Amino acid sequence: MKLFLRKTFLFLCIPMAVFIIGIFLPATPKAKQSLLMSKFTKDSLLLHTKKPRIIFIAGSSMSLGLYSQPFKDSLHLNPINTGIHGGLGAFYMMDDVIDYVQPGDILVMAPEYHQFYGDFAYGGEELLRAAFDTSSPRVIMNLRWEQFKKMYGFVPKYSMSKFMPEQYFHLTENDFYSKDAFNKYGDAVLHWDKKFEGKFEPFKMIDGGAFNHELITAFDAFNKTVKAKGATLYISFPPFEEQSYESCKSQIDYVEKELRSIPGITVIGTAERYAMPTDCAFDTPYHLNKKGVFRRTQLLLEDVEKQMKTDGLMK
Amino acid sequence: MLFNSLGFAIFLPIVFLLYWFVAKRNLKLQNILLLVSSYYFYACWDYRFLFLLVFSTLLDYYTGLKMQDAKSEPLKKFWFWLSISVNLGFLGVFKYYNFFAESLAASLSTIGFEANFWTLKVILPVGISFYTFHGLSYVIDIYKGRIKPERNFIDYSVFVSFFPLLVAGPIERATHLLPQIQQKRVFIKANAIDGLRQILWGLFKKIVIADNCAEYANMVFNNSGEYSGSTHIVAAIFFAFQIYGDFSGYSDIALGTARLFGIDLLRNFAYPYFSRDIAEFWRRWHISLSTWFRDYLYIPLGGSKGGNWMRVRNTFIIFLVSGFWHGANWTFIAWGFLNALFIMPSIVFGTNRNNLETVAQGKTFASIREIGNILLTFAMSTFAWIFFRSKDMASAFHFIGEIFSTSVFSKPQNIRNEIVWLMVGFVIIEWLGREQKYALERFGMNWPRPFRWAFYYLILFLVFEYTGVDQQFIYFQF
Repeated sequence: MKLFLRKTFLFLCIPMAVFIIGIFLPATPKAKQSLLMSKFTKDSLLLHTKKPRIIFIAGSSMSLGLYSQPFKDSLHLNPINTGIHGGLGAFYMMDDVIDYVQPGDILVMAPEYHQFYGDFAYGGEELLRAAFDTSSPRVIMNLRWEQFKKMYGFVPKYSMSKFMPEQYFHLTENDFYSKDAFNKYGDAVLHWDKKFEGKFEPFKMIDGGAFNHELITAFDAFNKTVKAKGATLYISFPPFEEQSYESCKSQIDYVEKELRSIPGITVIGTAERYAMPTDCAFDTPYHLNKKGVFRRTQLLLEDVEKQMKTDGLMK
Repeated sequence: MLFNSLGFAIFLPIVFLLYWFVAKRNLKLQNILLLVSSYYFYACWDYRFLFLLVFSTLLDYYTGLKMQDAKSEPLKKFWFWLSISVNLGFLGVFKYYNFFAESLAASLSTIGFEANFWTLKVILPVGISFYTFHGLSYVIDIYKGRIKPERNFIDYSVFVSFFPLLVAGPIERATHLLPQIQQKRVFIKANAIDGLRQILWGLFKKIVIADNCAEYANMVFNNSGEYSGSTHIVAAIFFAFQIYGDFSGYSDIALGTARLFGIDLLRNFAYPYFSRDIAEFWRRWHISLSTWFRDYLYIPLGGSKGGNWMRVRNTFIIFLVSGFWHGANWTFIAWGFLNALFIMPSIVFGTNRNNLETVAQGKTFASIREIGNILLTFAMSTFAWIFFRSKDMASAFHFIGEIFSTSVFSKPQNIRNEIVWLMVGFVIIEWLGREQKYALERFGMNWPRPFRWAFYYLILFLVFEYTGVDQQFIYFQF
């Protein structure tokens, strides 16, 4: 028995060493090109952008679905687009932004519908990469237990990637999904003049599991915290390609119903309003081409402006 | 908890260490530990259905004793039929009620009657088909006088609930498993190492092969109208690999885990895709279920006695019931029917007992004829899998219709080359190990240890590399 345990331990030593060493090695050259690295830039925007500010919060539906300049021009607010990747999870998005919120800020959050189903909102591999590739103790210390549970399954794969040659050599640029794809406000713009060469696939349903009521509770808490800081939170809806919208309508209606049921929260617009024609979509139902970005921006601008007037926040 | 989860990776060593170090040579303590761990394992799935598992265990334990102690044949029959009807009743309600209600309503509406039967909004308890059949085989064996009832409740409960086989088999027999539970277990290092090796191979089959094949199969089965005929063929093949990797991988992990505790479970798969005919396929696929149906349904129905008509009738019944066991959907019944149809010629002409030995036994390569037979058998089983996988009959026929379209000559779409290479490597290793209990059993055993370990690390590396493409074990839904 002791020999068996010794041999098993010895056998497992090598992979354990790879995982532990790998996780603490610095980000690979390929990882440094990833759009997750835009976190540094976006955190800097949150830290240094002067008031009055409007902060947009979501995943890539915000970064590849919004043009912030009109908000500056029309509302005279300095915009910050914090959108990076939906795989970071809605809990992370809220936890990451809250420390930077200042009195007078307008926050507009439009989480992807997938965040509301199953455990998507707790993040996954992207959150692990964001935490360790950016070497951000803040990210790691703020993680919830459910987020750790989602992440740890990816630790071996992430650690092993540090030893893979393709992470260091023959790197190709994927411009519109890299950290350099963003403008000064954090909007991803490099894809605007590109045509998606692959096959666009609408969603047939929002898979992932049961509705996550804990996320609704988290929005309630987030709203209260934002208000306590003297800022204002508006909940909006992500852009969603119309075929996907029709297929997932019942699930989306439920999301909208649950959001509107949160006491004291301000929901602007409707989910249906942000259902985008198929020719506005880029590569996924949440991402927009230039035409779609401008269309969505106009809709959101109208909704935000209308609500700000109602709330007496227009100067 | 899934076998391929961190929870299980923590649970297993803890139970293992407690079993061999704390419970040590105390058989009673070891069995109590196994029972508590098994109930914990099951509760991690859904604690609400633990009651059902315990109730089923109590029922069969009690009726088993009552049958033994019965003073008359009618009383013995009473206890027997009580157990059978309650067990099958639970299975029927949880698994089949909605199917019958909806099918009856659909049939009535075709003749102009609108019926609104109340349907149950219930979750199917995980493993119910498996542990129910455990209990049934125990009760039937007592009734037939093959075994005496187990008087030790803990021992019997471990037989029903032993965690490696609890949610997806293999379906054990009291004659095979109970004696092992009743006897002292001795730790044998070689068996434990063999168990770990089998677990590793099971994880590879499930995570690397099955889950990756599932991605492609799901993509095509869920969007059938958007892909070419050739893509449909590839998707059907990928599903064949998916279900094999998934289910046999689970069985390997179950068997390997059991070996760590000094217990041998029944083999469930014996390289079915290397079968040379459908009869051989069914001697090698889900062996514990097919032998269960043989012993408890086919033989009581008369088996092969009574001429061709009896054989044909009984074979159809077995395959239809087997299809129905898999789920409450006409597609499973169609799958069973197809398999019955495929096996019928060998039943009628008496060739179903050919090919009892492993193909190309003792040789490296099979003959051209053997390869042809293997491919034909694989094609037939894959064709039947189309029904098994489809969500309804219309989808199945649509899928088949797409195969027989002119686009069958176009290049298959969206195939990831790395997955194809992994499948090729997998088939080669399985072929080389086809005379072993599992492919990795003796693979590389004559290599120096550093090379052997390097090979195991490669498999482990692949398992971790592909972790994250999470797909539920298919047979958990049964």
